[in-house]
Amino acid sequence: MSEMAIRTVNLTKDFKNVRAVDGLSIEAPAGKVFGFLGPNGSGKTTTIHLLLGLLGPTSGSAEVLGFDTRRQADEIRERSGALLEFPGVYERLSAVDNLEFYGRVWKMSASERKERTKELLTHIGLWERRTETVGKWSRGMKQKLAVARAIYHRPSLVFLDEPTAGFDPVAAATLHDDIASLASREHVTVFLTTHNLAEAEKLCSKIAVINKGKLAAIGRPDELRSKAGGPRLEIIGGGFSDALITSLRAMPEVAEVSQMDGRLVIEVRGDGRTSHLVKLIANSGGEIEEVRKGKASLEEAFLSLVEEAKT
Amino acid sequence: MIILHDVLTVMWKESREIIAIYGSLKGGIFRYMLIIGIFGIYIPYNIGRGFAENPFYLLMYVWITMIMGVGTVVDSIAGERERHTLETLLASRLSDSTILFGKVLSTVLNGFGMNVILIVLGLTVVNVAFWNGQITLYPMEAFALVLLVSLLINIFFAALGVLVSLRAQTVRQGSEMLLVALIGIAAVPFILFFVIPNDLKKKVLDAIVSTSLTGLEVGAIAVLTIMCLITLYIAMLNFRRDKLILD
Repeated sequence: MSEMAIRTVNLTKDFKNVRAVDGLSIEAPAGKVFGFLGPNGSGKTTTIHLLLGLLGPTSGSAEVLGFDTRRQADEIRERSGALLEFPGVYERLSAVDNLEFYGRVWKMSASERKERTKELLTHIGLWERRTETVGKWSRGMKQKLAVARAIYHRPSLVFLDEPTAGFDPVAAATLHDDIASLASREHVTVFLTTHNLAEAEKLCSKIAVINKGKLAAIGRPDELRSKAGGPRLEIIGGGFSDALITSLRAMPEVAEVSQMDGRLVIEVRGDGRTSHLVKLIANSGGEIEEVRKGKASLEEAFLSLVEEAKT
Repeated sequence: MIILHDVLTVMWKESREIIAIYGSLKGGIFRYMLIIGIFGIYIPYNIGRGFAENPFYLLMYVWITMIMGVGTVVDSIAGERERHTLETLLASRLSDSTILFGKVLSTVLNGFGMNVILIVLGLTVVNVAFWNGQITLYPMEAFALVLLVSLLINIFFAALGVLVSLRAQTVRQGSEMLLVALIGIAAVPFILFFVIPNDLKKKVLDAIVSTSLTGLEVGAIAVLTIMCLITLYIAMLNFRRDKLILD
């Protein structure tokens, strides 16, 4: 297998008059968690459909696990697991039957299925409820079962579309650990789409942001954060006069200054040195309680990328 | 071998879903037992030996079991789409044709299998309850014909159900479309009766009247077989991942 689990080149998909995916070129490294972010309707689901060979591209190409999505889609699906937009669990069947079915689909032996079912249902805390009809379960429980189903046959690549939707914080934290462990210990490639940017920042080694079908940015989370701007200085305190704010704004290394709820936030350009700014604030009568320095969050980076694409 | 394994796997899942169509597996098994109790025991017992001697009852059972089976294919495809399980199934390693045949065969087995169970059980009940020293059997030719017709009708309606379900977003929509299709099929003979010129109509009727019963039976079986093959072929052409994902 090549070092890249997924590689797309100018991947494009048109539906009648709508271009859902527009010249998408991405590379997702094998054995890592790859984040795929974008607002609703940005083309994330269509991209997953294209990568699984469920849809053919209008133009461009995609290679998944070394197989071409047009000609070798069966090979890709043979080696992949997927949790798509909906949990997709059979609500009239029990949890055991749901997993048993997909175990049979992936040609696992009876003993393997029995062992794996017990292992996964115990791990997600649903073993005691294994014979209940899934339709009676909460959304979070169904989602847990769907995640278990996606990794049941130990695939090389897993597509997880909003896997923590409906999860409580404890369940979400457990799943985060499981996803990280899948990649680090079992060398599984995880293609993760999520609206939870903290989740993406925590888990993903590389992130692609798409908007209106086009790639807006791709890189490590810290690289994307850098794209949203330079370092940020946050001063907590009081006495921030209008004259001080005006003089800060006049400085060439200051990109933006905003004030709210006793906080002064200064976006800095260039090399990010800020000690002289703190000195200026103190000398101008500012009462400094606390100084924080950091980069923009991934959420801010994401929003700025989406806004950028709009303009 | 792999194809057979995959078809059987889909059938394994479908059979469980069909049994539990109104809720749980236990409830489904109770429903089947009730149907078997009414049509396999109660009705034959009340009719008596006439149940085995009159082929009308065999034909009635073909109709009853077909009605029971026909809705399951709509639930199996349009229902999977409505419940958002179809997309996950399509993302698996199963091929389009194994999914299709697994679903069609499950439906056929549900209708045809139930028909076989009911007529065999009915015959047993009649023989046990009204034992007169010798075993009563169905008229052999009628029995064989009914089995063949039951099988073909179930295949035809399963394939028709697939075609209808491909265009339906919900089970309700699929069932309504299937009803319209059935009305359309039932209307064909009447439409032909009015459209065909009188001289041609007379020739056809003369040919039917002059043909032996066996000849008519063979003709009907041939027509049904052709209808099955054509509908199945169209279903195969249309049951494709890219179409199912988009529709």
